[in-house]
Amino acid sequence: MLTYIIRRLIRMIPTLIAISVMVFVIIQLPPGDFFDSLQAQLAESDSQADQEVFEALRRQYNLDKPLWQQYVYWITGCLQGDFGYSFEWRRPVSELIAERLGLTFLMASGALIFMWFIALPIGIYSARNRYSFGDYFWTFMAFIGLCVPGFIIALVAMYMSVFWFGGSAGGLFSPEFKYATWSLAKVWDLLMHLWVPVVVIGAAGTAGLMRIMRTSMLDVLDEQYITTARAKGLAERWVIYKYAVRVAINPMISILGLQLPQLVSGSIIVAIVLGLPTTGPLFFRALETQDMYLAGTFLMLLAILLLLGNLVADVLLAWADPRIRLE
Amino acid sequence: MAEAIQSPESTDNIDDSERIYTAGQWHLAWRKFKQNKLALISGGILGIMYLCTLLSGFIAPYEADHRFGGRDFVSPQSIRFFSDEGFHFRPFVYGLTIAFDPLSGRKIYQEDHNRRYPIYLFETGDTHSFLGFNTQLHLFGIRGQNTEGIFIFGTDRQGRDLFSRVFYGARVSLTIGLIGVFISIILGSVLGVVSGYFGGWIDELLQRLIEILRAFPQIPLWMALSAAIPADIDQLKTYFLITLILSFLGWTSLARQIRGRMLSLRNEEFVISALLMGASHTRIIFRHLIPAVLGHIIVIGTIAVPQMILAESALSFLNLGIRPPMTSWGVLLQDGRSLTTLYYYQWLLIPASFIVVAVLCFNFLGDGLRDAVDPYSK
Amino acid sequence: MTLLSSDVKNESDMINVQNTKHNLRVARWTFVLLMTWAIGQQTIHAQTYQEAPELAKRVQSGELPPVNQRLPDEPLVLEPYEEIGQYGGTWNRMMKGTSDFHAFGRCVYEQMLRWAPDPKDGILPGLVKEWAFTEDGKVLTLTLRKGLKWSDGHPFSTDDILFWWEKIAQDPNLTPGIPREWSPGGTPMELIKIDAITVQLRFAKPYPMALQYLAFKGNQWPLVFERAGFFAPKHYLEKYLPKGDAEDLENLNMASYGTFEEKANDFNTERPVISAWRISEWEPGDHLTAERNPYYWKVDTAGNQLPYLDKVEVEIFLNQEMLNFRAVSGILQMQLRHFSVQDVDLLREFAKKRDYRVIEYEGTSRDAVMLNLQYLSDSTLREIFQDSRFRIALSVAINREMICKLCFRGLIKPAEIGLFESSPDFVDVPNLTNNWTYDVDRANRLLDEMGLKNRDSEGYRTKPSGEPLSLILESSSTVRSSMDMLEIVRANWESIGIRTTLKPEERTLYFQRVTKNGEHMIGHWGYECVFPTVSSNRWFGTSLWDEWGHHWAQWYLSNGAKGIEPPPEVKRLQQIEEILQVTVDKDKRAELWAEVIQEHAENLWIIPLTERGIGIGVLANNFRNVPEKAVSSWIIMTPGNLNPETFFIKK
Repeated sequence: MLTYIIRRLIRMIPTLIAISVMVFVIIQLPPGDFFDSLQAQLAESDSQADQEVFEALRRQYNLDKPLWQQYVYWITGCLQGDFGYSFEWRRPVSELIAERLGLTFLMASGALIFMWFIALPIGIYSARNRYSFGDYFWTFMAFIGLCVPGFIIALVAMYMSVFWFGGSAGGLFSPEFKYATWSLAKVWDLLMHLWVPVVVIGAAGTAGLMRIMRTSMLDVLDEQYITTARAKGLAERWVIYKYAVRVAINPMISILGLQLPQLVSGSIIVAIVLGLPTTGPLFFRALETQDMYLAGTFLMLLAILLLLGNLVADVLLAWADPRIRLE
Repeated sequence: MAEAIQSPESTDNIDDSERIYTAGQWHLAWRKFKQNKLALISGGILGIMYLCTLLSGFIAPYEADHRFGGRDFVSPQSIRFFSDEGFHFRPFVYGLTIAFDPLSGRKIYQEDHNRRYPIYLFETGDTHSFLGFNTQLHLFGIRGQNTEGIFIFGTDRQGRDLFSRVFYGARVSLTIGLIGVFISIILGSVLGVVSGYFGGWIDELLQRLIEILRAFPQIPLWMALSAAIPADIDQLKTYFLITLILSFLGWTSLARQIRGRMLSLRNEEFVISALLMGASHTRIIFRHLIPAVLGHIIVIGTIAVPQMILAESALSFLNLGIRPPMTSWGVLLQDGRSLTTLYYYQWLLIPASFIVVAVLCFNFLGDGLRDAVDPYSK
Repeated sequence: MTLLSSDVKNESDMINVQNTKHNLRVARWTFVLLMTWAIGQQTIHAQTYQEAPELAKRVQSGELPPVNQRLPDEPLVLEPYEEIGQYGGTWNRMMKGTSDFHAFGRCVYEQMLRWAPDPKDGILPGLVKEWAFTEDGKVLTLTLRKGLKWSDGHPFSTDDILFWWEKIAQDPNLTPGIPREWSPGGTPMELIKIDAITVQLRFAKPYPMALQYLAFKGNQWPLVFERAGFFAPKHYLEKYLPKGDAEDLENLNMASYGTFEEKANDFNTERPVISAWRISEWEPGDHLTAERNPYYWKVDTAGNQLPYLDKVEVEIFLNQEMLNFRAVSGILQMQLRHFSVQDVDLLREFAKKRDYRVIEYEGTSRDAVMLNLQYLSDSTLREIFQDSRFRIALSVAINREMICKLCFRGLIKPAEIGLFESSPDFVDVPNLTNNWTYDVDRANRLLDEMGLKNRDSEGYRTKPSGEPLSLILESSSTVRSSMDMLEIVRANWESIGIRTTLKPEERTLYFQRVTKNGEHMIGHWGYECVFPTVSSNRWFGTSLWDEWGHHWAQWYLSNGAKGIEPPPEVKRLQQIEEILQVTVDKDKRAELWAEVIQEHAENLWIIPLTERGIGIGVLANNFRNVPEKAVSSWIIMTPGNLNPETFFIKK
C-alpha cells in the first residue's frame, strides 16, 4: 500500500510540472498586466500617475522580463514555499491564501458533512421504497437540486437571510465579532452564519450523492447474499445496515476524496454572491485585476488538491472494499 | 451485439412481441425510449424551446434593445379578461400610471383602469430578421403609444421588455450548450477512438494529456480562461470563445469513456474479422466502430449539454461570459446580483426558471436516452 | 502676518474667501480677520486644553506629556460645523479592495494648505500658518506652525520638507520623475530652508497655482498616499535611506529601495504621521484600524484637542452588495464612496428604520463623448467631424432627459456646457447658443444641410460619395449606468440615420489609442468642471488626453514639431490656458472663462451628456458635524476637506 502511494506521488510530478506551465500561461493570457489594470482603476477616480512610475514598478516585480524567465522565478519560488507576491494586496500570496483557507475548508467540510448526512438516509430510503411516493418526491427534489444554478440558490438564500432574518449574508461574522478574538460567542456567531453557505453549496452535491446511493443500494439489494440473508431470517434492519449499506456505500467512498476539492472550487461562485471571506472571491478579484501570482497559485493549489483527492479516493476504496487490490 | 442486423423480408408476419429480436439497434432504442414518458415530454419541451429560439424575433413583441422611456422596472403585467365593465372576449392589459413610494422615493406603477389595451395577434412592430429576411410581424402586441407596451415578465432597469429579452437570450443560452457539446463530441470521439483503437504510445500520450487537463478544477479554470477574453472583441467572437472554453475540458471525459468502449470493442469478433478481410483502419473506425458507440456518444452529449448551459449562465452572471449588448439568460440574471433587485424587482429572476426547465429537460432526456441505447437493460 | 497682508494681491486668486473686487479691501479684511483670529488664539492659549479621556489616562500614567505640551504653540482652531463634540466612538467605513487607498486617505487630508469645506471659499491654512508670494509671483514663502509634532512626539520641521524634496522626490529610483506640479515650465523648483519653520519655493516662472498644489494630494504615487509629499518623517525614514550613489544604478542594491519603499508606505503602521488618526492595524484583505494621534495639532473652538472619534475602522470588501448590506444595516456612520445610483432606493428604504439618512454630494465632472477631430484614418470622415453642424446634430439627437431618468434614477441632471456653479471659477455666460437640447428635427435638418441626405437601403445616411457612414463609439467604462447611457446614445444616433457601433474597450487599450496614438474615432470620458485649473484636461486642447484634440495638443506641446497645427480658435484656447495659469485677478479670470465657454458652446468640440459623479452616501443621524450638502471631489479630498476630525457620535 505504502509503495503504491509513493509510486503514485512520484507519477504526479511530471503532471504537476505540466499543470504549472499551463496555469502560468493561462494567467498570462489577458492582455496587459496588473499595473495596467491599476492604472485604469486610478483613472476611474480621475487620478493619473506617470507612465514611468509603472515602468519602475514593473522592473521591481520582474514584469519586464520575458515570460519564461518569469515562470522560472515563480516556479523556483513555489518550490521554496514562496508563491509570489500579490500586487493588489501587497502581501505574499501564501499568507493571503493561508489566511482564508481555514474558513474555506471549514465551509467545504461543513457542506460535505451536510451532504452525506442528508443524502445517505434518503438514498437508502428511496432504494428500499422504490417507486413509492417518497422515492418519486426525493428523486424529483434531487433533479431540482441538480438543475438550479448554485448562484440562484445563493441569491435566494441571501434574500432570505438579509430581509427575513435580519442579515447574515455579509460575510461569516457579525460586525461586532469580526475583529474580536476567538471566544465561545464568536464560534457561535460563526456557526449561525455558516449554515447558509453550507446548505447552499451542499444543495447541488446532495442531489447527486443521493442518486448514487440509491442506484448503488438498488444493485446491492438485488444481490443473492441479501436474499440469502433475508432467507436466513435475519432482521431486516440487520440486513440493510450490516450487509447492504456497507457494500452500497463503496462507490460513494470512491468519490469522497474528490468531493472536498470539488466543493472548494464549486463554492467559488456561491461565495462571491454571498460575499464570504473565503478564497473564492479572492480568486475572482485576482482575475479581474490581473493579480497573476495570486490567481495562479490558487488554480495550482486546486489542481494539487484534485490530484491528491484522486489518490485519497483510490486508497479509501481499497481500504473500504477488500475485493479491490491496488495494481 | 450492437451491430445492426438486416431484417428479413418476413418481418411483417412476425407479431409484435417477437419483432424485438429482429429489430435494428435504433428501432429498439426508440421502442424503449417511447416508454419513458418523462423523457418524451422533456424532449418535446426542448423541441419547443429550440423552435422558439428560431422564432424568437417573432414571438417576442419587441426587439431585445427596445427601450421604453420612463418604463423602467415595470412589474409583470397581468393579462386580463375582466374589466370593471365585465368580461371581454379579447384579453387586454391596463395602461400604467406612475406614482412614487413615499419611503424610498422609488417609482411605482399602478394600473389605470380607464385605459385598456387589447392584445392582438399578428401585430406589426419592431423590425426583426427572420430566417434572413426582415419583417415587422410579431405574434402578439398591443396598439399603444410610445410608452405603452405589453410587459408579460415586466421590464428591466432600462425599460426593456423582459419577456422579449428572455426569448432573445434563449438563442445564446440554448445554442452555446449544443455547439459546445458538438465540439466536445468531435474532439472527444476522434481522440477517444484513436486512443482506444490504436493503443500504444498514442494512447499513452493522449491519456497523459487527459490526465493533466482533468487535474484542473473546472469552474476556476473556466473563470480564468473567460477572464482572458479581451473586452473589445466583437460579440460573435466572444460567443465562440466562450463555447470553446466550455468544451475545453468537456471532451476529456467523453474521450475517456469512448476509449473504454473501444478497448473492449477492439477485440470483438466483427472487428477482427473485418481486419482479416483486409479492411482499412479508416473503414473499420467509421464503418464499424463509430456506429457501435454512436448511441453512447449521443447519450453522453445530451447529459453534457445542461452542464454547459449552467456554466454559461454562471460565467455570464459573473460578467465573465457573454457581454451586453448580446444577451443570454446569464446576462439577464446579472441584475439579480444586487440587493436592490432582490428586494424590489424579483421578477428579474424569471430567466432563472427557464434555465432550470431547460436543464431539467435535458437531464430527463439524457436519462431516457441512456436507458434506450442499452435496450436489453431492465 | 504683515507679510501676508502686504502680498495679498498675489495669493487672493480663487483661493480667497471673498470675491471682492478691490484687492485693497481684501487685504484689509483679511488683516482684520487674522487679527481677530490671533486674539482668539491667545485667549485659547491662556486656557488649558482638554483632551480625550483615554489620552488623559495615559498622561497620568506618565506615558504621554500633558496636552499643552503636545499641541503646537498655535494649534489650528476649527469651528465644528454643527456643535462642539463629545469624545469617543469608532467610525466604521469600507474600502473596495486594497488599492482603494482613497477610502482611508481621504479621512486624513493633511496638507501644507487645505481646501475649504466649500471649494468656493478657496484655500485655507493647514500645516502652513502663513504664506506670501513676492511681487513677481515667482517666490513663495511658507511659514509653518511652531511646535508641530509627528505622532511619535518628534518635532515636525522644514527639514521634513527638504528631506522629501531632496531624498525622495529627486531620487529617480524612488520617484521616477520629479512631480510635474513642482516643476512648472519644466524646471524643478528650488526649495530653500530659511529656518526651522520657514521655507521658500522658487519657481522659474510666476506660479500662483502653487497654492492649489500645496492643498492638493492629486498626482499620487499609485500605491501610497503621503509619499507624494510635501513632506516625509525624516527622523524615521533617514536610517532606511539606501546608501550609495543614486546615479550608479548597477551597483545600488535595489533591495534597499524595497525596504525604504515599505517603510515610507502609508500603510506601514510604524511610520509616524501628522494626521488625526494613525494606522495601528493593517491587514490587507481584511481591515484597517486607525487610532487617534495624541499629538494632533488641531483643537475646536472650546479648546478640545481633536479628533473627537477614537478610531477609524475600515473594512475591506470586494462585493458591492456587502457595502449595501452594511449600509442598510446602519453600521456605516458616514460613507460616500462606492455607492451606486442604482441602489439609492434601497438605501432610502431602510434609512428611517436604521436611523441614518441618504446624502447626495455634488460631483465635479461631466460625462461626454468626443469626436476625434483629427481622425487620421479617414479623410472624408475627418471633414465631416470638423463641420460643427455634424457635432451639433449628434448632440441635439441625444435624449439627455431619458438618459438621466433611465440610467441615473433622475438624480443627475442633463449636461450643459459651462463650469458648475460650485466652481471657484464659475461664471454665468448669458445668451449661449444652446446646442444640447433634444431636438431630433433640428438634428436631421442640420445633417441634410450638410449634404448627408443620401441613405442606404437600410435607411442609414451615407457619405456624400455614397460610401457607408458608420461611427464607432469607444468607451472603457465598466460602470453599469455609463454603459446603459452609451447604449441610449447609440440608439439616439441611429434614430437620425447615423449608423453607430458601441465598442467597449479594455481601459489600457483605450488609453493607448487616445493618449499615445490619437487613433480613436469617438471617445467617451468625463472632464472636470469644478477645478478645471487643477485638472485641465479636455478644456483647452492642450493635453494628450483630449479625445477631441489629441493631435492639436501634440502640436502645442511639442511647439509645432509634432502633431497637427490647430485652427485659430483652438490656438486661442491654448493661449487662454497659459494666461489662466498665471492670472490671479478674479475679473480677468471670469472674462477668460466666459470666452472659453462661449467657444465651447459654439463649436461643441465636446458633446456633453450628463453632469455626472453624484456622490451618494449614508450618514447616521447621530453622526454630527457633517454637512448635508457639499461638493465631493478627489481634488479636494472629500470628506477630508469637511474636517473629519470634528465628526463625532452624539450620545
